[in-house]
Amino acid sequence: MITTFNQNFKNGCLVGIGIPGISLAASFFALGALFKNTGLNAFQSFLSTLISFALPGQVVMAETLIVHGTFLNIFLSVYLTNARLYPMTLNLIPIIREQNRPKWHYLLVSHFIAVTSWVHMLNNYKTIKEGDRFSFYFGLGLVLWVMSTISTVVGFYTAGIISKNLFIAIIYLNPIYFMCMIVIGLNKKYIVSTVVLSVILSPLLFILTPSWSVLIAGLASGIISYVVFIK
Amino acid sequence: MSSNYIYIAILIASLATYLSRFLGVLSAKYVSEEGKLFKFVSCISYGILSALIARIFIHPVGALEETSTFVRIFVAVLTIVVLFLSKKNILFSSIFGVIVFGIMNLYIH
Repeated sequence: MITTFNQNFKNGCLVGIGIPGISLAASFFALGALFKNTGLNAFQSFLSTLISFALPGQVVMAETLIVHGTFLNIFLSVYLTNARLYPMTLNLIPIIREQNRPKWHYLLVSHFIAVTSWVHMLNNYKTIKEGDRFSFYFGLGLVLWVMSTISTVVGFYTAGIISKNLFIAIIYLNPIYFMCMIVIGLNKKYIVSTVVLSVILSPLLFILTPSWSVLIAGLASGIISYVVFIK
Repeated sequence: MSSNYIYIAILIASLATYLSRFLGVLSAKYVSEEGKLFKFVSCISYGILSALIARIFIHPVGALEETSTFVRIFVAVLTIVVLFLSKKNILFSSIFGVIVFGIMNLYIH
């Protein structure tokens, strides 16, 4: 029989409340302030994180709203910005897959797939027993989602109250945390090669094509590393 | 901006976001944890994430844009050194990085 809300779920929740949750909440806190400056109200800010939960896409949506972009414009720009979620989901589901678990469970939990929970799971899944991973990830993702949604609203109401320097330092926490997580996960040649290549290519491609630099750098470095080290 | 315009935009953005996750779940049946395809997808995922993080440090958008590129990159490199010196303590290294960044940001723009 499949159980979801067990000790593994609790363990996932507890991990989420720690540094992963704090670092992600810091970014969504900044997003709340950005939304306020864009002209959204508190409920709209709350709703956006609740149903999207992918920060770069939400930033792009806010930028498109400022220039009164069309709905097609919003759809395409957000889709391309968040296209990384496709390989990330494709990568995560086989790790948390369990026999006999219905597909809608995966469709539900996929809403929680974001960089923070993904990097944590990819780095640590071998320390969790195969049948326990879905519940663990569900707990982790759920907590991160709830913390992010609350932080967006807190950020909205505290925008302009806290000092600018403190605000900027808070925003810096999330990329620093991502970077640390990726660095400690560098345990395979093909991953090391991908990360190094991508870090070199991304800023170079930015000069040529700012909008596509992340996607092209990621795809090119990934394909080159795969061909060299695996195929 | 009208309220309806914002609500529809939020809904469309969420659909555009969930589409990648939805397609990922559907395609995942072709990927096994030990297969080559899994490794290929890992390469692509890590590649895109690393490019995204490099972009945040070198060409950020929003409030970080107003800070010095030198400070952002210098603190990132320093944090990696501290991460290894602290035996891969992520909590300590991240907080160290943010504090040093906050202090340096006061003096260097």
